[in-house]
Amino acid sequence: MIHPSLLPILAFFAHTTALAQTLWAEENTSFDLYFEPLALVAVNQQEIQLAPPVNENAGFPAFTDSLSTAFYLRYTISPVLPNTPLIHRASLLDGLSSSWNTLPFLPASGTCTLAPSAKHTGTDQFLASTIYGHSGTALHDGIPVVIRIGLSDKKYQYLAADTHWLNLTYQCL
Amino acid sequence: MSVRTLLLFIIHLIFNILNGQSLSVLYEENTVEITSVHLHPPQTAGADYAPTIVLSQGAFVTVQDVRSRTQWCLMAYSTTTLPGNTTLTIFPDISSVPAETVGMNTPSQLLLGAQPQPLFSGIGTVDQMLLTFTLDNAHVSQNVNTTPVYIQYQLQEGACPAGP
Repeated sequence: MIHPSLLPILAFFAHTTALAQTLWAEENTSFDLYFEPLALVAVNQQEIQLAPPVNENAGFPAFTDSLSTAFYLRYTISPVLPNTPLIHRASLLDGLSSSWNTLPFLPASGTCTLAPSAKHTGTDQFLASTIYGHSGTALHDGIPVVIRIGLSDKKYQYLAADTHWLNLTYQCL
Repeated sequence: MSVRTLLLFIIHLIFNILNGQSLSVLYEENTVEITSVHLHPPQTAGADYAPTIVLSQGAFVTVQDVRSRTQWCLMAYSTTTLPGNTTLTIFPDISSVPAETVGMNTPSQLLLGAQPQPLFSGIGTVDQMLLTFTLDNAHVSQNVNTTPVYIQYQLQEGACPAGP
């Protein structure tokens, strides 16, 4: 028989042992996740409608060697390090060529120079320029951009109704 | 129960209490960088981060002062709230330790949450078990600058409970 005076001692050890069996040790750790600044300029996959609109069924407009469109690119820019390259990407259909004509612009938080006017052909080509002095998030009325699209005669004849849309993406990397 | 048996039982309990098991978790990196190479596709304008990013981070877990054949469970949880729906998952690399030290119910991965969840079920001493990490559902527009990640590891007696 257990002597009654030993019961509290036994209960104490049973309690402490139960706790020890539950948790032996604990380690608090930490590390940092550092996200390199990536500035999103404008929206991804912006679609630009050419002017005048192409309507192959009506045969309007009459084929010329180029069409053009001008638009203002609205954007939000997030913090980015100085001299970060600004990448332009245009997804163009086969048979199309294009040229850029952009102007420097001044966002609220600093000076930004967009890519100089350039020409490229083919698909998924990249143009890089440098973006300066951004800090914070700034809204701007937009970047003036003119794009001229050249179409071959054959391509124009078979142009589908939805092909006069371009996917343009902008991002600072 | 005789007094002698009772004393032996108490000595056994005291031994268990004083036998201090130790847990050590060491990271390979203090800072893990997420850059444009983690975009999907990498280095592509307009792209967002890949849905799952394998972090260039590893951790080595060492459990000592545990008697052989004694089973234990390593639990983990985080007090960090990552932006948006971003989550962190830990993968125990059971190939990094002898097979006889891997216990029952070791999960293949642990999605870190605010409550302790089983990460690894071990037997006896384990030396430098490798943990790897993935970051899921990160977005360029939401994840910026530096985010500290706090992870608490707990060493508990007994095999891990069976998973769902």
